[in-house]
Amino acid sequence: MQRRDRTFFALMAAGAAALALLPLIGVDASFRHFLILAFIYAIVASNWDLTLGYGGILNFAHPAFFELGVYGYAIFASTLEVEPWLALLLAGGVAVIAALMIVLPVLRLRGIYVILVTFAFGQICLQIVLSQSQITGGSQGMVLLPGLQLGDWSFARDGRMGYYYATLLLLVLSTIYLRMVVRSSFGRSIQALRDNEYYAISRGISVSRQRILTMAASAVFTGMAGGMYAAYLRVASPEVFGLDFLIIVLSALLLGGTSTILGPVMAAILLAILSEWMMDLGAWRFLILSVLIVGVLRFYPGGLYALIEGLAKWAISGRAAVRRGARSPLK
Amino acid sequence: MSQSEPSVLRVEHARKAFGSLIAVNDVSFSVEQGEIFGIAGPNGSGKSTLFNIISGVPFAADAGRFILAGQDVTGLRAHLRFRRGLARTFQTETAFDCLSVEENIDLARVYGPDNPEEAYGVAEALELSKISRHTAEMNAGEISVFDKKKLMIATAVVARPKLLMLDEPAAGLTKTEIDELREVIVELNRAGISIVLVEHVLPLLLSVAQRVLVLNQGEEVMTGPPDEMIKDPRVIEAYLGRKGHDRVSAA
Repeated sequence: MQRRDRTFFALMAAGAAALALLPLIGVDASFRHFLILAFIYAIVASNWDLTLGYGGILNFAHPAFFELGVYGYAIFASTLEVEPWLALLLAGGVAVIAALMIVLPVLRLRGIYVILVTFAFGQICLQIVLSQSQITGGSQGMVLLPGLQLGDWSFARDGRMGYYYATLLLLVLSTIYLRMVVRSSFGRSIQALRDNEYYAISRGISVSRQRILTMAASAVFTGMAGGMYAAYLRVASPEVFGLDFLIIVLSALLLGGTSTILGPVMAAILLAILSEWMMDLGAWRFLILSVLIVGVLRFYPGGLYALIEGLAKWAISGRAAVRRGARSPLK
Repeated sequence: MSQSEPSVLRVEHARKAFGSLIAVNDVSFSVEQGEIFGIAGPNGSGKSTLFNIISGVPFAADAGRFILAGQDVTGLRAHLRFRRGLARTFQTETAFDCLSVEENIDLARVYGPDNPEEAYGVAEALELSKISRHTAEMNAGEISVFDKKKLMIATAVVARPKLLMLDEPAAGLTKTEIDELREVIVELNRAGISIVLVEHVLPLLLSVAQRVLVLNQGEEVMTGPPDEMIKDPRVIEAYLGRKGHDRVSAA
């Protein structure tokens, strides 16, 4: 394993361990609720990084993969009475199928046109959900969805402790998966296409094939995150198609830093913690968060991850400078 | 030419137009196995366009046929032409900057020939392109212009192509670097790779090419050995114009 892989997995393991221990030192249920949602947003944002960051595909259908995961779980678990755990996996499958459908029309498009078509896809999905009310519940949505349980133990018990750990586990698995994807030769090929498309083609890489695979790969955990969201809140409502969700996830992605995976994960969790802390500030909360996002991106366009990387490099080179300084007077 | 060994590349009546401008007009030639074949011509003569339509990157020909070692690759998409053994470099040095030099080469190896056993190993490609071990471990975004040019050759060579097409590899290099590049080209050729070389630096082109095709305004002026080429009045006229030709003749 190379050094940068070790750093990545060490950072991830430390973060996951800290988050796993957090409930044991006692945090209240509302904070836990915020963190569960943050984990879900983190999965969606970091998987979006695969297309938007690594793949350089301006794909705005990504939130729709999540939303279809929500409805996929609802229809499988509630209407079709499929075992909820299986419905969770199938929610991932639904998102992958959606990704394969939307990728075909954008295969030959570039730039702004990709945004237009993919954004429209989300709106089409919303219209289908609203119009097919006999299946989706229309504007009312679907309620009282079956939740997750192991044997007789419901995940909602003990202050939703089960959901906390299940979502954290899903986030860890998704993060490992993403890292493995981007470090594989497939992952390198999509970065190659992003960096220089014609050169990549001239080295045997197919644009169409890699675009299809990138979109599908980004949808797997996104759909499952949608399923988890539906299982946790026990509701599938058209509200998830709203701009709010897109803004939260996109903020996490950009604030965290594209093409980093861990950046969006950290940013999603940080945003959740900050909004919890600033709960009493009411509308001021959004203002402060917006200023923070603009501030970070103004001075660190690479996002939080670049900021942390910069600090780490500064700390290492600072220590080296101290060591050099200590030796030099002896010479 | 024997039946068992067809030309490594046969171009038949290639044509490419951009609106009313005909960049390549009915050009035909063939490159034999093991040959270094040069393409020369003044600026705007259609050399790069010809290169582009043969490789399919970034655009295909309007008409004509391209036959690679007996296989018709005319209708083949560009990335598949590379996998069949037709590799090219670009005028501007280019690399996948987010990957290391070794990862750049390995990527071309993985997406290279249809049969992976035909490819060279990364270490062999580094050696053939004269890239140092130290450079190999660096990020491609951090290496020098000359190393990037060699890296572009290495990512092409790793697939052990039937034909390597070099698009002005000497542009922007110092004399020492051009000398090293010449060695790389000659050694690659010795390793059995046929080469097409487009080059503005004529001393390099004339010293390595066995035959040269000279283009002017998209059309073939002549094809022949380098010593014939430099004496050919049509070539002198293409480069220097009518008056230039008269002055050279008078001298």
